[in-house]
Amino acid sequence: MDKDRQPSFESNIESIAERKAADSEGGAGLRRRSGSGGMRAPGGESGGVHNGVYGRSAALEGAGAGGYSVGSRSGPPTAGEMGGGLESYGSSAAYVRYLWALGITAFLLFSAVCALNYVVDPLQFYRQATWYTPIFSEEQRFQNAGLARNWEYNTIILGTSMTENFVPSHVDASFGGGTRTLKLSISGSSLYEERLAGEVALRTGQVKRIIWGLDYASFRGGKELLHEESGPYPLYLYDTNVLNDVKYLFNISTLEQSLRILKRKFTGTEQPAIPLDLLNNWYHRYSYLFKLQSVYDHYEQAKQADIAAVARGESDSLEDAKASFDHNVLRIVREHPEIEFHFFYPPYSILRFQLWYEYQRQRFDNQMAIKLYIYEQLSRYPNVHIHDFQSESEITHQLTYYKDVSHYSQAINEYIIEHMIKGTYEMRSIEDVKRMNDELLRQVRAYVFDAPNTSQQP
Amino acid sequence: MLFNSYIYILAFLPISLIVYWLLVRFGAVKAAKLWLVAASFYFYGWWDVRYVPLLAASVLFNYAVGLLLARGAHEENDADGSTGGRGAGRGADRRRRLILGFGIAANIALLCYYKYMDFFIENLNALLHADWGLLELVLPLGISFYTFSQITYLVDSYKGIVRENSLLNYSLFVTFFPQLIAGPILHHREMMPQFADPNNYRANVRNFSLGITIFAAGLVKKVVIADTLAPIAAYGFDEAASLTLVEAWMTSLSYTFQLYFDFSGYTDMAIGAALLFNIRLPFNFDSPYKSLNIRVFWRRWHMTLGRFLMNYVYIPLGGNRRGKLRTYVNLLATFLIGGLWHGAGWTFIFWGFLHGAALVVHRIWMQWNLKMPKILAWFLTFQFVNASWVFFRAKEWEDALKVLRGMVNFDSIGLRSADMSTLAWLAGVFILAVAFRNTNSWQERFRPRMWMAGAVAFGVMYALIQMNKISEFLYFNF
Repeated sequence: MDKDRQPSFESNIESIAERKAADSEGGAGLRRRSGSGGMRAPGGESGGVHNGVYGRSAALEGAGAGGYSVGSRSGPPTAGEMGGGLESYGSSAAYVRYLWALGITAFLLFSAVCALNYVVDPLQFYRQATWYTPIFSEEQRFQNAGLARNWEYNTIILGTSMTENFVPSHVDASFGGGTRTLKLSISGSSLYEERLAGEVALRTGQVKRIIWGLDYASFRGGKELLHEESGPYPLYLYDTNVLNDVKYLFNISTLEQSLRILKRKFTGTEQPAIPLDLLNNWYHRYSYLFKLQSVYDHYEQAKQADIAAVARGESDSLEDAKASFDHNVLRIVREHPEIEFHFFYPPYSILRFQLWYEYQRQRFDNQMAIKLYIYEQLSRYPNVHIHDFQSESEITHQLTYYKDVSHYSQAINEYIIEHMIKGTYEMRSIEDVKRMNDELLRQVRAYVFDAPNTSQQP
Repeated sequence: MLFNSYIYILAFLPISLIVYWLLVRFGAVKAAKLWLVAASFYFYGWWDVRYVPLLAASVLFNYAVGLLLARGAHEENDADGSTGGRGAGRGADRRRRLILGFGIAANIALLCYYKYMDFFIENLNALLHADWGLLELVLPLGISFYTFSQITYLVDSYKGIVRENSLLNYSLFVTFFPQLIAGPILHHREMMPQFADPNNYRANVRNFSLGITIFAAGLVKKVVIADTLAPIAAYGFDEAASLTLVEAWMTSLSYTFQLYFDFSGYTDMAIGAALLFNIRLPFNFDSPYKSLNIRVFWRRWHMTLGRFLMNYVYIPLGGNRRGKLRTYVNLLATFLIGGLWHGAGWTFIFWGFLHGAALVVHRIWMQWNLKMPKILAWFLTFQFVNASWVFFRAKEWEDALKVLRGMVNFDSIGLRSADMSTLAWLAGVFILAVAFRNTNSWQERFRPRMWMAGAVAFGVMYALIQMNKISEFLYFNF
């Protein structure tokens, strides 16, 4: 179309632009179609085809100067133009029917998905599965809420991967007296995430005992840190708002899991569920890594990571750590005098402490200091026990217990439980705390790491 | 607040719509406009409330400059009846030129400060071996877009094409939330008559149906297509150490289609949302990957940016009227600026250079009047665009070269290890982009068909359900 009027140029951006340039140089004031008069009202004709001298006074009145399609072949018609004469495109009633059909279909689809997901309930958020073999999700942040809501227990385990190898049946047997343990560990969790999981359990009113592993790493990063690096945290599973559970029901992952469950059910391919005793227990999965070479290899990685953290200017704030403790742990202790608390400091290998001591001294010092703070805050509660395993050289110096510089084997978890009950490592006075800290410091300074100076092997 | 978020789709958009139409219904058009402006500021502040004053200041400043410019134009027109800015007193003319220059400079200074300062400092540091600290400012959302549309307003005011006497209307033009953060880049003259037209304050079920339909199409393009392709491109560009031939092509094609479906989908959502208010935004994409040459590509890709660059950069530089060489220089300069507009980085500038150069080559080719089979023309154009996006996407030069090297890495083809589902996806979106009608022509042909209603409902629900995905918490080394 432009071609007809401007044969010397291809119909492209430049041709019109150039015409415009010619125009503004006082040229022939080329007329242009106002066919693309975007401001034409619906119902009005897009008449007055040549009513706009391009870009001049006519535009002041806005008559037909829409022309947004400067580069386009003929200017796409707009809704306004198309709106010229509803009858040619269907009556008003037809559009109303369209909107109703759209709305109703959407609502039906929504309802169908929610209903299906509610009935199957793959995360067992509403009830334990009865009519199919459940598939537990290993995404603890998603699965834990359902476990905490719908299982029977009186003891819960909170913490990071340092607590994942506790075996609930072992805990039950060790504590005795009808103990029933539910593990709500979350790998790589923050204190806040641990608190959220704990609170779901507390709301059921059946918790008598909490075993809580305190990793200083979980204190860092803010008192309400949620790990959302790979996606939003499912807070809707943790709060008391019923309405936002729709995010669980109207959820593609839930739907996929529901369909997988139904498919297995009706094709007879169900597989036995992982027993809760072993859910997220990584010891068996990684048992092949428990050898010195893995620890040596990981030592190098951890060292580089520490050096990098320092290079990034990462600092460590004791005040922030204290705030996180108050916000997430202390308040639960304060609110629940009826519950028996066992906090413990996990025994990372001596190498882990040495690396912190050497490369992140502030962080190391704060880890020591917070133990004093925590003791001061908790000592007034007779229902609270704090156990520090970090200066037990029989564990921390035996590198074969580890798969890397910090993760110990299931045997150590069992040891922790047994000595938690005996109280071997319990801090009973502020002197205990200082003594254990001093002992750890002494070990860190004295220990000589005789790693074979090999190049790293995969 | 993104268009493809629950908060926007289920809360912000419905609430702003309902209140708007209620106010209109009770005859309070001014209040309705005020409501829209307020909603738009809220929309902007949702992302970072610190920049709300910045947007407000930008609007006020440009409105004031526009007033000054328009007053001058009016007097001149009255004085000698001419339609141009000439003939009036030279002093007044010079004053208006100064005002315009000041206005544009202020806008560009703002943009430079927030967007390019760190880039500038980095380069200066590298050049002078200095170590000046970076500002590390967070880029105000949409600043590139509202700066450009306000520059057009100033220029048009200077030329006497537009005038605006209502701060409310002007605020609405700039901040109208569907276009605020990612365009289309509007012209005052295409928007204000719409806000002034009483017919647009009558509910229109056709526009409403169409708006929802276009919005849904955009949502599906963005959430279902672009977001599925994004991780494939991200892996190839950002993570992989080296790429096989097949992987490299999957990487570059994934990004080529991701960008198109993402941006055009986002534009569709903007157009759709605006239609719910009876406002028509200009088209921004018109099946660019169907283009047979690079000029046509630029008529079809980000059209409102294209027209800005042509009318407010290329033409003022002299366009093609100062000889061949000057034309080529102008083209290159225009696209270097275009490249820089997309981001503060040398890869963007290089991408702009590539496109400018391609336009020059095309011009020369046209002058020789050579013909090329259509399929070959399409192929070359698409390949050029695809390869140039590699520089656009790559965060580092090394990444760009890695992908390009992979694309000619015939030593390691990697067909057997290729992920078939990815290939199938790419084939699907390729066909969708080059062989099907686009959403613009849907607008032209839209009829209220029942199957369409069902498809739209399904598409929206499918996109909405995708947004609640259980993401894996990847945690290495626990």
